[in-house]
Amino acid sequence: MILNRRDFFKVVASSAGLVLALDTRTAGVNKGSRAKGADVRTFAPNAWVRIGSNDEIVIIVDKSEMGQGVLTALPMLVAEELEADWDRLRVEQAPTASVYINPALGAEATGGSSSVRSSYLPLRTAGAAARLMLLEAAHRLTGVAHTRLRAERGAVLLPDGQRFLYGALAQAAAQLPVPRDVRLKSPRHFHIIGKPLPRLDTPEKTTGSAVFGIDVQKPGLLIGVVRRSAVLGGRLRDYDERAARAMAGVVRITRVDGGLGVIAVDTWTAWKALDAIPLRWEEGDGARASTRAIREEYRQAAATEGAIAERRGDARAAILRAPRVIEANYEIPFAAHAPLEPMNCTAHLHDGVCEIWAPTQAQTGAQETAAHLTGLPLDRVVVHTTLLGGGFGRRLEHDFVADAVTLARTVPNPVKVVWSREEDMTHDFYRPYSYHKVQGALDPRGTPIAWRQTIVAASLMRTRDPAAVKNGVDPTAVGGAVDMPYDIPNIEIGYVERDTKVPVGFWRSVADSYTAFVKESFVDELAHAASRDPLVLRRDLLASDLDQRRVLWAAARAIGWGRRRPPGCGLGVAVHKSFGTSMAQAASVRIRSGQLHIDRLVCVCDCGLVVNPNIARAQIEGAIAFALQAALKGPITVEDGRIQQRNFDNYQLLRIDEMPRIDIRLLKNARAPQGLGEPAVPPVAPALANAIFAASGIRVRELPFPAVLDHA
Amino acid sequence: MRMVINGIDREVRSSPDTPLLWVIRDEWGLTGTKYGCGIGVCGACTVHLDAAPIRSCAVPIGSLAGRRVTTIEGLSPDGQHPVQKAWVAEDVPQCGYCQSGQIMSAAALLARRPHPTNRDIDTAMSGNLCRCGTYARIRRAIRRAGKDAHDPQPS
Repeated sequence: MILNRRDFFKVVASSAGLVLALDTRTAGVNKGSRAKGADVRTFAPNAWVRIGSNDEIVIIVDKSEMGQGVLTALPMLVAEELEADWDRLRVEQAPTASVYINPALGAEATGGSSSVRSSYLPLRTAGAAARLMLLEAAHRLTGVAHTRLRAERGAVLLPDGQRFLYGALAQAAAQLPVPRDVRLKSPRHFHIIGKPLPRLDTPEKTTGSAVFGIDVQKPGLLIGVVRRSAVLGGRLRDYDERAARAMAGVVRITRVDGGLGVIAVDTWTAWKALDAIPLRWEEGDGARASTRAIREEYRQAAATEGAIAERRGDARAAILRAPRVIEANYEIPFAAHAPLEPMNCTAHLHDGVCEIWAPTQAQTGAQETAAHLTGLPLDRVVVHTTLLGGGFGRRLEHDFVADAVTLARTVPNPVKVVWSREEDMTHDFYRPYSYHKVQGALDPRGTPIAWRQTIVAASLMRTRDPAAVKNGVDPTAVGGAVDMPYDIPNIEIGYVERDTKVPVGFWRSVADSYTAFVKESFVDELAHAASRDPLVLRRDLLASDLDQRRVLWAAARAIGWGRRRPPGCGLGVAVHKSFGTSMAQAASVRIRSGQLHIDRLVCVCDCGLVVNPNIARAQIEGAIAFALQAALKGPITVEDGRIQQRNFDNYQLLRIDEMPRIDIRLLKNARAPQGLGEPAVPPVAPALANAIFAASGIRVRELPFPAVLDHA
Repeated sequence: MRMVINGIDREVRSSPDTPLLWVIRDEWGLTGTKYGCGIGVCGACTVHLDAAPIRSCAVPIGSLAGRRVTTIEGLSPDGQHPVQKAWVAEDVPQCGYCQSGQIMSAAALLARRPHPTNRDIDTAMSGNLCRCGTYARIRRAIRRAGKDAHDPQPS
């Protein structure tokens, strides 16, 4: 059992000042703490459920809402077992507390497509435990046997038709011990889980009333802005603040880590002041970094011995002996997260406490960062999680929190730091650049018998948790290449770590975003080399992964695989499993005068039990758009140590007119829910690349695809 | 100088070079209009100037004396503009950050062209970026709003 009363009391003690709450009754936002009648008693059997004697039922969400729907999906898990009335709930964002540590990540954090997966049992258990206690309270109150009591829509029903609202039982239930053994419902009896319920946060997101980090307002709030060296890793040498200090509305000018910060009464004044300050930089050796140099270094590194990430059989010997060996190199660029809400954070140091309002995916990290900077103990740092205007992994970092705390320390007021888009774009933690050398061997019948791949990429864990890099292998750099699902007897996956001056981070689907492109493109290359149907070859090689085989087959059928296509048209498929979910993409494309037109994409998903099909589809649509952007647009490049893309004019996002028709199928599966935010990203680029090959004979081995597809 | 913001005549204190976006957000405290790029290419800051959608991050306030500006907060008194209703019906938003701008662009489109073609929608909406990829639902919601708004209604 995960319920821990001591943890829970810590939660209650720190739960003042919540910034976000949704109310299903009004489907709108309620800011600030609840109006609490003095005589309201609260039944709070665990950290996720709170029932007031006034019949207010609150479900607490301990994951960050960044668009993926946790403010709706997680309460569904609790409400299902609690037998709550879905139309009469309040949903609140959790404060920081150890009970909310995400077991998948070891910290209070949202990422790794883990929210529903890691909450499925704990939140249902929390709801069921509360229901059992309410039933027990009703039993003691009425003397009616347990077997004749029924919990339904927020009330306990007696055989005679009497109805006790949960609120009426709250005080009595609060006196009872929390049950140790809680039996959960069979999925057959779910009536909330599995329904395509509308999101609870939609209404406030259509009226402008939703509060993102950048919208936080506090009495006396000041605005902070920052500027860092355009050269990666550069430091601020000196600056002349005289002109800026004379400007009306400028409050403070002070250094932040690696750069300069200005605090002013409003955003525009702060930016104007920053522009008026001549800054001189210590560029350091980062000034020599360039995409060209990294590419050359990686190309050479790919020929060196890597650390062994996976070995089955003896790929090297098989390649030496094989009658046919196919070889190819793949390259995938740096990519920016570019959430539409730029990095921002509000901090206020007062009364020996550091209060933070942040659109963060990493509450523990934010708390530790602030504690480190202020010298305060962790329990004197209070993190309020706002809505996130996109995350995609960028908001797992703490640099923007550090800026807010650094600036807020210089004034008594709360300070909201807002990065400009240019700062956001040029100081991201990018998806690592990677270079892949792949060799495949075919036996005389055209069956793949060996696969050898060397992956060159920077390590994400080297700077974050060096112990996670084992025997030279960073698992976050090779995910999706190891655990090869294809039945090939001889496999070797090597990893060569090459860190660069470019900061790297977790980008939606992490390594799978590039390893799937290589795996699914190269298996297609092997099929064509062996004159075999790429779909049939995959099917044959997936004899031991029937989930992937099933989604692949369904996607191929839906796109019309096997039908003859007119010249210039082609179909492609790709299948990949990540974050526990098997995902297949099929693409139908046309190429006219070298221009790619995507006629249709089909995505078939097996993510186990689907908690909310409406939100699941939205996640897949969104992941496909995210993947299309990286396949068709970008990339992030470096020259003279400077990121060359500074705003959306030259780092373009996907536009509405570029969104193809997408058909999504969610396969039925009663297995516990798996990840959904990320797994639809990896198979998109290879499905398209394979379709491009089918249409044109052009094999694309680099992302993004060339602007003009020709045989040059 | 003075401007009419969401039907209310207001004094503007910010300096004339201040982009309308920051007057809306910082001076008037209306935070539904978002900052995304500052150069008029992402559409998150879209508001109506008279009836036309504009990128408020790229328009200095000094050029707008006496003009009427409508933000997402002023689109309807109760969040029940046909476009807002359609957005709810299609459950469009994911993170939601770009959606004020999307809704303002869509409302301006429908005011001009009550039954837009797919091409009209793409043209009118291609300046509003959504990183979450809600485009398919945006298209559906606009078609729905066009239909709902022009069903016979008592006037």
